[in-house]
Amino acid sequence: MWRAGLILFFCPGLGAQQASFEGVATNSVTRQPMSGVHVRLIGFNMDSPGDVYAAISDRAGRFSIGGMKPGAYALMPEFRGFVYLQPKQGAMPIPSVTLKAGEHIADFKLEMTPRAAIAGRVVDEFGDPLQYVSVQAVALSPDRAVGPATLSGQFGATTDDRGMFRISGAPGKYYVKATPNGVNSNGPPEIRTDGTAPAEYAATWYPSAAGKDAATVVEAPIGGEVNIEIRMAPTSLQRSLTLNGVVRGIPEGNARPSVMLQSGDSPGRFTRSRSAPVGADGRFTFSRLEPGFYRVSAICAAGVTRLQSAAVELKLDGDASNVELHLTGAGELTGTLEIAGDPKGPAAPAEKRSVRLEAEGSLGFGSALSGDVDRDGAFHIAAVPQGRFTVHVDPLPENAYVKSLELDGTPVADGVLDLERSAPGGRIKIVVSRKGGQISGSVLDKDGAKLSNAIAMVLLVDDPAKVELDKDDEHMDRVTPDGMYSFKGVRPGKYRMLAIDALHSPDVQQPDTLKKLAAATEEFEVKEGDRIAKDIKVVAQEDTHAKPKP
Amino acid sequence: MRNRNHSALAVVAVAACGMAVAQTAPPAADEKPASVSGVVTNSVTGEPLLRAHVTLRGGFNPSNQTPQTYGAMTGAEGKFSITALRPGSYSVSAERIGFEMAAFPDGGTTTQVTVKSGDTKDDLKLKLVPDGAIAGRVVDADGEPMEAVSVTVDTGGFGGGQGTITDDQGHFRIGGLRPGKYRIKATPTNLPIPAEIRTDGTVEVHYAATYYPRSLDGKGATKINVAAGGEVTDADIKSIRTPIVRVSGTVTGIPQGSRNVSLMVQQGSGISSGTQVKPDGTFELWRLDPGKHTLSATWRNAGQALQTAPLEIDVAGSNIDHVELRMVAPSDISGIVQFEDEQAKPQARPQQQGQGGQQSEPPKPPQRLFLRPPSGFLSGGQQQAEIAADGSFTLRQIQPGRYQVTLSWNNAYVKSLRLGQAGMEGRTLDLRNGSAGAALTVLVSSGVAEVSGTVRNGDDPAGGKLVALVPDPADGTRPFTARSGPDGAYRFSGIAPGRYKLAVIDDADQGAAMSDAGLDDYEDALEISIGAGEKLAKDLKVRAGEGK
Repeated sequence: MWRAGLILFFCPGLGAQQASFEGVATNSVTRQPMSGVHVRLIGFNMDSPGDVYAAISDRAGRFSIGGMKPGAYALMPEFRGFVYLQPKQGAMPIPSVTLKAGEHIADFKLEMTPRAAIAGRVVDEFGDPLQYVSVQAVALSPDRAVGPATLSGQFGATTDDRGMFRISGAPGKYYVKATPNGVNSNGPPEIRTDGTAPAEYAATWYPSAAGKDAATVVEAPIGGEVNIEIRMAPTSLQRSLTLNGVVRGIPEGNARPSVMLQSGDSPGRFTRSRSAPVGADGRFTFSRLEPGFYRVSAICAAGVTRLQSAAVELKLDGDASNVELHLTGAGELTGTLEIAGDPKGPAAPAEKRSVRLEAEGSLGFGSALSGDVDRDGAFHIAAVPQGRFTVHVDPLPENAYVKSLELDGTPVADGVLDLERSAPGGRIKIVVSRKGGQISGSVLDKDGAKLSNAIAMVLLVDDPAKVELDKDDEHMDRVTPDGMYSFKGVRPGKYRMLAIDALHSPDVQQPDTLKKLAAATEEFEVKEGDRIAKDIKVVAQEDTHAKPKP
Repeated sequence: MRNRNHSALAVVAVAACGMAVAQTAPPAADEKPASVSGVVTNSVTGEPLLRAHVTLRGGFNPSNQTPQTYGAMTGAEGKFSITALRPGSYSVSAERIGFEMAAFPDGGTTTQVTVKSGDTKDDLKLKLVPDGAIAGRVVDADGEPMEAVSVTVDTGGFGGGQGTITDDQGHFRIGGLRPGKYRIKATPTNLPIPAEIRTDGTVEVHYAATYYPRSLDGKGATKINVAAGGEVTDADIKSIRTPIVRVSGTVTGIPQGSRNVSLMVQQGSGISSGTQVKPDGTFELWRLDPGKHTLSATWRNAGQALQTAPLEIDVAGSNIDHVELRMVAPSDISGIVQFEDEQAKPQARPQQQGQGGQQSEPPKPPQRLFLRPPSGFLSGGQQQAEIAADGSFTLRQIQPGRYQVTLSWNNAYVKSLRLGQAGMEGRTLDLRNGSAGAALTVLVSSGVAEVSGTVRNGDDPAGGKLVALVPDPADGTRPFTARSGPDGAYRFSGIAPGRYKLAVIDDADQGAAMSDAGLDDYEDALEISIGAGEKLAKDLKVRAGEGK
């Protein structure tokens, strides 16, 4: 997925010369023409569906679409029991066709491949069927041809009440993985006194392996079906970890805190969460944990008062016990917002602004902590719990950036406000400058021609080692249909820039590829008030071998 | 205050915010473990079931430690045993693939067992009913099989109905079904893309979600009767062709320079479509199924959210253009509750008695006012405000829309509302244009009504039947449901006067009864009108069997 959407569409340019797309659909095995193939071209567009063109192949397999707008299209032909495979071209796993103005593709060879099926059953150690197990076929070589998996080929399935599943898709060699759709209860494991053990299954690779290396390859034949049985491997509960601790500072009365546990595969990036109740003695336990990075915190709502503990982050590779969480009240944060150069008081611009705190590592679902800024630039934010926060000004003036941030007179270096201290709250000072840098220019294809009617984006990177897609909207710009990009309000500093063409650039969904590509670009400096004009070439497959530039 | 009395029964109330009210005490030193054993059988054949998983889930116990879960597997003769059990109250259930817990006379599928210190309970009898299945084919207008069609059990959108996807021969099979009557629906994979442009003379064909055997709406669906352990194998669905419809319009009031405005579409209580609003505020939606849909656009920017009031459109055979949605800032609404009479005030609840023990005064939970949006995803959750001693309350950050105002105590109902100068009869609060800072006055009356009667099957009283009472017309709020007792008796008390529909419903339709359709599918639902303070007696009949 590129952005959040499932399918991306591009708006073809207007008033350009019409294009056409014709060809023959054949069966890739028999080489015979295929009639009745539903040939579809779906225009890429960032915001809304683009135009959709289609044709049905005739008895000779011929299809023809005329009067098309030039642009990039996803090619999604359909025929029951068949799949369209195309060698992988770029970052997006979707077969595509790009038509230039006035271009007439007359003899496109559309080869449809009979689908293969992997069917079978998932059973437990007694041979009893297991329901709601998710089964996935993982292609042996990741660079193989791609097809529109989500449309008609199903590359994953869930077992039914007989433990049965059926996956159909591109023929080839696969590993098949079964993952129990376990509803992991938060509570402690159930107690057994009859000598049996709770059935807990780990992800199992066909036929009964814990890992891919010990798995057997399944060959899914063209136009045929292969039948397999996966025997799930029970996990011993001993291997799972436990984290326990105690919540201190629980107020007298009826309020009972709850403890939230966030987890993830790397420090500071938490993708999952669960919670546990706290006993009358303040104790809590999380069991069945996997090794990884965790963040644990407690909250307690007692009437209108809300108590919260600072979060404790830890890496778990064994059991952790006696984690202490101290509940404290919330504090008030007061402060001033200065927009450098703007008059204050009655002469201040009338635009309403607010200052917002966002808890670091939060999933964005928490309640908003924000305060309105008055004419004198003063604001206060009530009931701020302990924690680490990033500070945002909404809205930022045109071309502005946050120039400095102080907490109780001390500059805050990395923009993260650390309020994990004994007395909550504090006083902050924010200075915003309207003189952010501006960078703009054209995006060029690998031959140096201006890019148009493509799906592309430009990333502005301050630290190549930390670059991520989707992390920070303001440092990512979509390329306009006429091939332009622009950034405003850039904080002075050193940057690199990376342009990605979704259909032809390497797969930047791989974080390492993205970091490597970013490191190989030229660094440049942006000073306050700079207006930089800079054309940029999209990264190509061969750039993945480039050396980092200092 | 911590209560040191060991025998005091815990007064348990779990509030939505995860706060628990409980009297607590340390575990008693003389507490002896208890044990529970029994047998699990097939409710149809009476045969014992091997390798069934029995669980005892602890609620709150006298010593109020963390609730504990015990488990066991049945062995030969279906027997299980759990020893060294901490005394307390447990909910008991058993599971085995291909089976469901058989319903108890009260209609529930779990039972409670309470064990005291040293108790031995060795006569627990658990019955599992074998699952049924529905299988068939989905075909198009020419009778050709349709692939990758999602076939689901229609629950009215509540609780994921079981489902599957047709294979390349158009076949499907939904297993794991508790015996009952089911409505199934086939939804083709339709990308939300514009109508195709074709220059080869062919015409695009489009199919809408279709109910078994061939209906666009639930009303025309035939329910399929699945017996315990039974399999229906010929549930073929013939998909219905519909025109491709475009819905387009504009979203206004988007904060300047914002890009991330998304539009969601809800049908029934599921999301039926969605799109990104273009930078110029316009949007286009394609291929909505026929029927009523609700549209709402949302702009979200970390922590802040603006949305439009939900707008209902009725999709039929032609395009709907020029739809206008306006973003309205969420409202903070202050107001006051006024009591029409003394009796409308919250009554002190009868003290829950401990087992002979004294009990400290439980704190009075604050009374609340609720704003219930129509069911579904678009309208967000229920909002609430505490009512202070002087009757004042403040609701915060209420998004535009229509809400039902209800109370946390049940000896009164909301008779009328006034927002600023605008009076509103009944409990529907119209905030589609926001509140414009106006104060809300809620007039509360004690004239609640009651409906009661007996459910009969022929001349015999029918126990364990689900009875639903839904406002007429349905306003999307949760219907009242009750189960008839062993003597067939049911009762709804504390209801607001007004018009209702009343019917005995299938368990599988609990969700559907909550949707906009309400009890529309139940042609024999009684239409009743209840006056203030009225006590209405209505006997009900179980419907004759239907379906196949």
